[in-house]
Amino acid sequence: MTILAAIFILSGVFFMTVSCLGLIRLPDFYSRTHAVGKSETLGAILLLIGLALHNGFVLGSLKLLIILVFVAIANPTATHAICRAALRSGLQLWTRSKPGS
Amino acid sequence: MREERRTSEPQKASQRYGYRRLISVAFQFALLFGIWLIFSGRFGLKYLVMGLICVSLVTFLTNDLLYYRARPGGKAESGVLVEFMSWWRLLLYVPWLFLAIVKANLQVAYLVLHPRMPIDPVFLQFRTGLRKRLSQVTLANSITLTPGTVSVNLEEGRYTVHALVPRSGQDLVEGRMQNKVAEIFLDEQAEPPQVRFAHSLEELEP
Repeated sequence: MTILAAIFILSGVFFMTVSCLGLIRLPDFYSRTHAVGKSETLGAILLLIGLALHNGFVLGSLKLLIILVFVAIANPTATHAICRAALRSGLQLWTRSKPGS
Repeated sequence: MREERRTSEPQKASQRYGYRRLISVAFQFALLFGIWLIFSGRFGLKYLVMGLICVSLVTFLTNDLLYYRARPGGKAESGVLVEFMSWWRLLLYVPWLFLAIVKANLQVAYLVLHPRMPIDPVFLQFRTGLRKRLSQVTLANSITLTPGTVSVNLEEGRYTVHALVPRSGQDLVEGRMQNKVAEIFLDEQAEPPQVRFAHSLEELEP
């Protein structure tokens, strides 16, 4: 059980790291939302599953699972809200190829 | 006497509305109280009463946000049972979505960790054939969580999506995800949507 928990937690940490790297490396706001909105959601989910497994079958694990459901719903919603605000305020997106070429 | 007892059509409709509203209040109350019990973990009388008061207050304040009533003149709204059934169907959708999320993350990880970062961001725009609000919102949420795409805007069934690489819009162009959502929420199966690619805000439809 401990090994399984460790696997979950480590992969969670991996995706969290990817999310932070993406936040630094990606060129503009919209692409950064990909890194934060997706990798962080999965990272948090994996971390919480790992912690719940490590905890065993107690009330604390149930709380962790509820937090997990909340994160899974709230994170994409917040990502979408920020993205929509950016679009409405007219933020231009970064492109590799010039428009029209 | 009998003439008075017989209820007219509008009265029946309002009775039905009240009944459904009551069920939605009871459902929300039970859900919130269950969450309270789990989070507090104490079952003394004091804590239960505090929970009851808080849960009642929250239900009173937020129930009309959660209970969606069809606009007058619109199609007949679906009954509470049908709505609950589609909520249960949401559970069928979760395993498929989870797989898609894992794939999405591996792709993002690949793009981010690649030394040259082979990305070519683009906006996609399309109209969906989905009719129900729940399925439209679910589609938007799935777009955000699946490979390379984040849904930016949804107005009257028209989506604006940001994609890291144009080919990640493939699922959308072929309408695969839309059909999956339609299947689960018993919505209309529609043609694959016409997708527009836009490289700047000016190319977007207003």
